[in-house]
Amino acid sequence: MSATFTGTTRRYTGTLGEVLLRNTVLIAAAVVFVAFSLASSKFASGSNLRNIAIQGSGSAVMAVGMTFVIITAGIDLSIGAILFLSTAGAAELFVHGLPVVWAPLVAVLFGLGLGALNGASIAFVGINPLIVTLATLNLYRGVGGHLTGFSTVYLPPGMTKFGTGTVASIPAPIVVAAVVALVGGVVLRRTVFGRHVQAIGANAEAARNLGLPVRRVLVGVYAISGLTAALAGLIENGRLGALQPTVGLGEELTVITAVVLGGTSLFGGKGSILGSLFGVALLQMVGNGLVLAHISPYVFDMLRASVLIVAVLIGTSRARGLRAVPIVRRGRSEVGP
Amino acid sequence: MQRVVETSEVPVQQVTGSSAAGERRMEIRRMVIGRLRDLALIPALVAMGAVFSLTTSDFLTQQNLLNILQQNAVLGIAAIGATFVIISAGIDLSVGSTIGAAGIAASAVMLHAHSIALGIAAGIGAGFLTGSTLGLLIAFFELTPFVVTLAGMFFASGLTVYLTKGSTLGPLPFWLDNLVFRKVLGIPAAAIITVTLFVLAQLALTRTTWGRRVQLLGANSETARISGVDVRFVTWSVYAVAGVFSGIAGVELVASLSAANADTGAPFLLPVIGAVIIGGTSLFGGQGSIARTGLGVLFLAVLINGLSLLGFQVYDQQAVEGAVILLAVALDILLHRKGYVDTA
Amino acid sequence: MLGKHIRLMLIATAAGALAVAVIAAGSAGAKPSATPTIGVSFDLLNQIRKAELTGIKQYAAKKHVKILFSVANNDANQQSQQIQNFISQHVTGVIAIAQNGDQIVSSIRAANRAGIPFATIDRAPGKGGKVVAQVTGNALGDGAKVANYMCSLHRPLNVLLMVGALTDANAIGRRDGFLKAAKSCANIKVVQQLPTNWDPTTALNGVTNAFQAHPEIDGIFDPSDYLLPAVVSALKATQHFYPVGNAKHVTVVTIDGDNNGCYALRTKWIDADVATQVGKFGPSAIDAILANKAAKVVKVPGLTLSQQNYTATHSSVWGCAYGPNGFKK
Repeated sequence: MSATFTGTTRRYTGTLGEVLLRNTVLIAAAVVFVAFSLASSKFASGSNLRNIAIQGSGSAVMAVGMTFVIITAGIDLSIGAILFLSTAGAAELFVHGLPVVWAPLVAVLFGLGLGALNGASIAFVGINPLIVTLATLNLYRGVGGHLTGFSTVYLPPGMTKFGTGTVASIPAPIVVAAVVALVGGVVLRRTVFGRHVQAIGANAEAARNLGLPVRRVLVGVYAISGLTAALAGLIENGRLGALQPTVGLGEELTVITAVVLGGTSLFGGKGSILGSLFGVALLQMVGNGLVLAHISPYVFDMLRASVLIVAVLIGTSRARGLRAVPIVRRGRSEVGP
Repeated sequence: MQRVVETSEVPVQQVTGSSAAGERRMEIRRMVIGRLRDLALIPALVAMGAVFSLTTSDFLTQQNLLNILQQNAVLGIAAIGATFVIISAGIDLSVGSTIGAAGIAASAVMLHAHSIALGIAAGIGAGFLTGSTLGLLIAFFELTPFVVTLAGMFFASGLTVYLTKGSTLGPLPFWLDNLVFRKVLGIPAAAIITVTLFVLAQLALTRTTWGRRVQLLGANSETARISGVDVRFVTWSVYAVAGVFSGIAGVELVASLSAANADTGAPFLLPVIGAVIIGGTSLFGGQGSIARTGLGVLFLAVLINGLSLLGFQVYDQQAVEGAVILLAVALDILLHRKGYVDTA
Repeated sequence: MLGKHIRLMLIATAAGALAVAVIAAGSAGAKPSATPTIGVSFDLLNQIRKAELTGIKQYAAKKHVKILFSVANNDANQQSQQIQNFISQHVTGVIAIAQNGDQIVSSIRAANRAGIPFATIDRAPGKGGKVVAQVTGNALGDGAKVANYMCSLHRPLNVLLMVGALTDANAIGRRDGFLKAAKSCANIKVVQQLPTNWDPTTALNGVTNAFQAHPEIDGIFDPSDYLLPAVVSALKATQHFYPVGNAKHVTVVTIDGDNNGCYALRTKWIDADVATQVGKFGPSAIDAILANKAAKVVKVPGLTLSQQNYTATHSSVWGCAYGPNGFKK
């Protein structure tokens, strides 16, 4: 890709821009919530809200990982396939004698590994993240299909507890999502790794010149995405009680849209876990409401796609407006797609 | 989206300051590797063909070879458009959904207006509209091609599914077979159309001012701008052209299936980009040729056909295809890093 | 003179044309083998498809017919190419489960042009091609059987009508068959329709939400055993999961008759399963190809397996031959 200096400098902007962007989705979520509550008395009931929270947990968990990835100006299309394959791998080992208590951990390790594979191809070989994750999307699902013989596989209780269990009367999916979001937020904002992620997203070249371990961080980011996909797999497959070959198909679109909705820019450099969570909540509420109102499912797909375009346009114009200090560049600096 | 680049994009001799003899050796090595890269694809293709001929008796038959040409017309035509975009150092992720949308548009018009010509025009027009819109966003709003075409992909496919409610439009007039299966001098029409488009596109790339500007833009947009090239127009135009080719490909696709469905175009994204890169056009832009893309298309086509005849299941085929494409991209990046690839 | 690349292209094209000409002169193509070979093209692979394939393979073995098998992974274009490859391999016949009924027509016509008999199973093709056999289940009939079974329970039911993918003719047929038969049964009231796109998570969320909106639901029509785990999990999550015989049991009727459905019946989770007799598809198709006569349209009726007739009928249902955990390949 050439040195088209497009002028979209990505300095990590301070709290003001971040709060502005985050509030957009917050306001939108609040509006939708109020509107739906007024439209149907059943919407705001405790059990319905609990349902929405449980149903959105898988996406929420993956949105945390995807936020990291998109902050580095990358993308991960393979999360649905990792969701499937990580559980499939653990289940296969269980059938061959692995004690069930270790199965969830094994699934998580598989997720880490599959994600790291993505990351290594992107960071060490330098292949475009879209091409890599598009290829692994097919590859991983195919491997999982082979492992399960394309059949529905009932999972043992030791593996379903993340979906159907409770922790102190709170449904496990909500607990997992909350913990992942918290840990993700802390890692992003308060650890060196998190700061490196943001710096790389803002300007990879400058980050490397500063001596940051760019490649290792990138591998880590995709490993995190794989990890969250594996956790989402434990949740969603656990809720189903069975591993089915089409699980997670297309879910990456919802997750990416939620993250972008939440204010994380596809151009990299800025992002917010909290924003992504609100994005998931918004999409989940809309999906839930549409079904309750008997509206055609295709409306949701269109909505999701249009939302993405609008969010990209808004996000871009804001990125320009919030540009603080233009960083002087010489020649071929901004090498991007 | 940003790539991680090795610090030494500069050929080694400038850094180490070796002797004249060392420089000469380096020059020769670069030339040889450059030539090899240029020409390696043909021997590889022939070798692969030989392997398949030996392992299955179904490969080297007239019918199968003609099938390969006809089956990959859609891929080939779409890859032409993608080549222009990639030479200009851009990328178009919307190619699959544009193919689908164009097919739907063409079919809808054919069925309602009862005119094949209008339908074909509608399909190509839909492709142009999509490409042009994306090109506008990229050229005049200066948005990153990756993001814009990604969003375009989601939007186009969402819109198409919504408008058709997922249903299939058909059956289309059987006359359309003439655009695909009908044999002229023994060669399927699809192949003739594809090869003609390839020749025209290659001429456009190398013989027209526009074509040279596209290459210049891809090599270094700053230099292009300074030398008076209207960067915005040329940028917009490559995406519009890509849209047109995707539109033609979409029409060809529904003609071969006699019915249109929103999903049918989606699987083409990865093979299209893969074919361009395998052919030798670099993702970094500035060099490449339509002819090379043709070889890339042939390579993928023969690979998939051979694996299919040998009984590989489609999941394994996809794995092999994905692996080959990844290898090609990795090689492209590696060679670029070591300075063996000229931006000619 | 000519640019380097134009030269390259012309050389490649000339070489290719020469090769094709030489081969055309030299061979008439691979000779069809002595054993009849049937190309079998499926749209995807899952539990019921594997049963269909087994039915085909077993019968083919009996008839000394060789099978070439391909799966299109939900890609109609792939399927078209795979069938085209079968044709160029001079198969004796083609059996296909169409990914898209309308888009398979061009493959049928290609086979017609080559004089190769074509049989479609499971999904009906669009119009325009000549098939020697069209062997499908009876989606409308199966949907009606579900309604009839529910009616036979002689108690009022508030039914959640789950629907498969709206682009799947079988899904639409099952829904419409149910609705038509339910009209003439005063006991059946459809309180909600739920499109699921055949996605388990969508089904799980949808059923859970449906109970939220309509707590009075006490009957569920699940149009495929593929969604059974989702239905059962949703019932458990909403505290509506009671076995057959319990006063609070929610009546569940499904279609397919796969191993999970049979298991669910055996363990008294569900009330009935209208089994698609996939075992009959293959033999009908193969016979039609070998006979190669005029078109036969066969709608194989579903076989209702229920709590009431389980002992007598389960041996005729294909899914009951397998255990519930399909982990073995």
